[in-house]
Amino acid sequence: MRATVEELSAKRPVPKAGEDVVCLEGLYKSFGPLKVFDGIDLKFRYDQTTVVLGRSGTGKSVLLKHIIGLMKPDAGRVVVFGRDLQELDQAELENLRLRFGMLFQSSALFDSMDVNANVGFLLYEHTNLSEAEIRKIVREKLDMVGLKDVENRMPEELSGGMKKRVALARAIAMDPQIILYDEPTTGLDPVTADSINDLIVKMHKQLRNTSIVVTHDIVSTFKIAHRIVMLHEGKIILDETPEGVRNSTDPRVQSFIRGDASLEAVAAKKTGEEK
Amino acid sequence: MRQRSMSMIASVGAMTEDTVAEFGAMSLFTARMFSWIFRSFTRWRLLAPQLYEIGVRSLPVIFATGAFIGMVMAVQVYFQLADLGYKQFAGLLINISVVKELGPVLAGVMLAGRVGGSLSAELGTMKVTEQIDALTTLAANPIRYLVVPRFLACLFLIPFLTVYCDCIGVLGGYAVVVWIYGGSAHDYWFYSQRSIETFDVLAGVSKSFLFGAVIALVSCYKGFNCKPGAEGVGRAATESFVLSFISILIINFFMAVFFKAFYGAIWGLVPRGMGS
Ligand SMILES: Nc1ncnc2c1ncn2[C@@H]1O[C@H](COP(=O)(O)OP(=O)(O)OP(=O)(O)O)[C@@H](O)[C@H]1O
Ligand SMILES: [Mg+2]
Repeated sequence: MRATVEELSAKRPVPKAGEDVVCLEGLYKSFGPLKVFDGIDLKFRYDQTTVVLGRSGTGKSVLLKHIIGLMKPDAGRVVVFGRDLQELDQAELENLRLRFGMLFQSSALFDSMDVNANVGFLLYEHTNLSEAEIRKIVREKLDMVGLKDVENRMPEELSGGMKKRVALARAIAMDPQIILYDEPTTGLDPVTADSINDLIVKMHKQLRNTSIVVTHDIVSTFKIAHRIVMLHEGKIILDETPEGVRNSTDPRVQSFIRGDASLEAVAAKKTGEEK
Repeated sequence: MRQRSMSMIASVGAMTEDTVAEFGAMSLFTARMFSWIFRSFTRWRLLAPQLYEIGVRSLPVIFATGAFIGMVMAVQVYFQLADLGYKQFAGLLINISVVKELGPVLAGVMLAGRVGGSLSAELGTMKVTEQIDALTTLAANPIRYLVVPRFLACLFLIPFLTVYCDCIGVLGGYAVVVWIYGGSAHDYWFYSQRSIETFDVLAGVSKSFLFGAVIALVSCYKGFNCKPGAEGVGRAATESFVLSFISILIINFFMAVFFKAFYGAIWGLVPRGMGS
């Protein structure tokens, strides 16, 4: 069950830069009467950071959960590293997940374990590293997210922002090739938020991986994104470079990046007239 | 009128469909769990905390359950028998009821409340706070990681707790009969020993394996399928208690029928202790 670090890296071949590592093909998803995805086609390249924007409740978290296989689409395929998730068996899926890191919107720390066990979870479960080695890596990762001397605390003794950062440390514990960040800066003060942005940029420089970041934070977006996509009413309505987004004339996009609801109203009226 | 009765039939139909679907889902859940047990059993590091939580922490409530069952049986039985001139059989009557029925069933019900409730609330909370999803993303199968150790702890410990409950019940009955009512200690033990057979004790204990399995499966399943929010967690805990309780009663009935037939087939159905 436990593997050496070499065995693990054999299970995680490094893709070429620019290779499409995540492909969403014709994704449809509904929860009862609520249609969340209405035909989504997206590709995420290796060595690229993509920010996913969208209003609250448009399905950004659901999108990330499809990419890592926590949810299954009603129709369409999710292809990761060239493999269709639907066709993988349990063991293959677990191997695949060792190449992922996911930061949950709600942090989702294990509240029966202390911070050390949370951050080191993957290392304890899947490697044969010694306790001391794992503790060292955990300290390093906590240091990266700006936390010190919290290893022995339980999650309930942490503030919301600290939980988020511990969860981030857990997500990056094994240097994943695909990192899914669900609102990494929500609930943090501006200074910490900025250091998290720096961290995302730094992680990317260091690992050259695929980062997919869901956020509402426009400042962060322009700081970290190579590419920005926007989800609206079940469809991708924007897929641009940050430059392209700044120059976009779509009122739905402009209202979002300026935080101006009146533009949204204009957009709604306009689409109404078109119909 | 007609429309109303149609919609009633429809809703009964829907309910049946839901029940069947849930039964199917639960069977699938059980099958998955067993496949993990056979593939990799479990690790001590995961099992030990469950043994403590389910076993050690249940001792006080099981003590109380056992003691009061034995004592109340003594109160109910002693004078009835004394009136008939059979007070020497009080111990026998108390102990056979405790060992065969009351001990296992009431210990099972108690544990369905204590253990089942806390398991489904714990797993339900993990579900609604996405900790179960987090486990999956960290390449740890939640059934193997969470359900298997809890199931095994229940399976091994609930029979132990049942025997413990039986013993305390027997002593509780003794305390009332001998110390309070001044009955004979010799009679209490002598007639019990003469007519309660190993078979009776084993019948009680073997039921409790099934009770333990049912409590664990039902409460883990309900926790895993918890609806969002605090309300969802509360409902999962309640539903798991009710369903475990009913299952215990049903299993108990069929086991009683089974054991009667089994006993009759092997030793014949003669009244015991009174013969030869
Ligand atoms: N498991 C589920 N069952 C039913 N509905 C769900 C489920 N998960 C999400 N939804 C619904 O899908 C929609 C999209 O949810 P999602 O969490 O992806 O939104 P979001 O874009 O992440 O919003 P936010 O920015 O507020 O986090 C919501 O309307 C939500 O109610
Ligand atoms: Mg979300």
